[in-house]
Amino acid sequence: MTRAERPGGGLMYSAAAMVSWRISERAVRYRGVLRGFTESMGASLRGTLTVDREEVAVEDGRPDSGRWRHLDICAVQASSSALQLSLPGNRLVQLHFPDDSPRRWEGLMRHLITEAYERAGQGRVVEFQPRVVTG
Amino acid sequence: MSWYTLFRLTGKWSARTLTRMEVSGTSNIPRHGPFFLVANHQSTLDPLMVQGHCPRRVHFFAKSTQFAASRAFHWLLTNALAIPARRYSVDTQAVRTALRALEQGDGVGIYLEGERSWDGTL
Repeated sequence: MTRAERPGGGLMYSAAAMVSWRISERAVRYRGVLRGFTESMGASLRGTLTVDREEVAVEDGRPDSGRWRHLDICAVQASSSALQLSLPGNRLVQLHFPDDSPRRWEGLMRHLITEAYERAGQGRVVEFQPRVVTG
Repeated sequence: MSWYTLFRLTGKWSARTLTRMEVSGTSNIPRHGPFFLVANHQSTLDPLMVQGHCPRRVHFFAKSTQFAASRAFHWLLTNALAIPARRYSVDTQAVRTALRALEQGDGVGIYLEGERSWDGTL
């Protein structure tokens, strides 16, 4: 994780990551009966995750890349060795960090989201998955 | 013999022969009817050990990404009666599957921490 001063003030954090996006969901069946669904992730490409106090940016050169305000993030969770972000439009991005811990990024993201909600006067975040929920 | 029974017997046998694990409290599991089995989660072997020593059939929630890890994992988890739960959304299908298991008189297992412990503490 690299920490740097943001041009407009405040800190900015970034890290290299292998980025993959959910492309579909696959049904899980046992003896023909539906049990649930699992995500099918697309190809994993090298990219960058950058966050500051206002927003998060995922860049991997694909059209799905972009920036999102912390207030627009739907959910944040570590899943095994990856960080998952649920984004508006029912999108899911998964980031594997070759040189970093997803748990550390999960903690940082949750901290920044909590601060963003408090600054916006939208209450204190009490849950981050399966949805960001304020108390 | 179903795959589930085979997994259960394997878990029980391996725990008895390869570890010094102590098992207690199995009498709290009802002989008939639905039940919840709540466990802490410290090891990847927990499902094998807990299901291995539970005398009744129990369907454990597992994160959906595990099913996507490989074909082998998908097959293994499905036949171990794991219920895929998508942690990034409100997964109503996972709840429906758990309710169906309870209606059939089976047990539903939950690792209440929601994930394996990162540092061994509860």
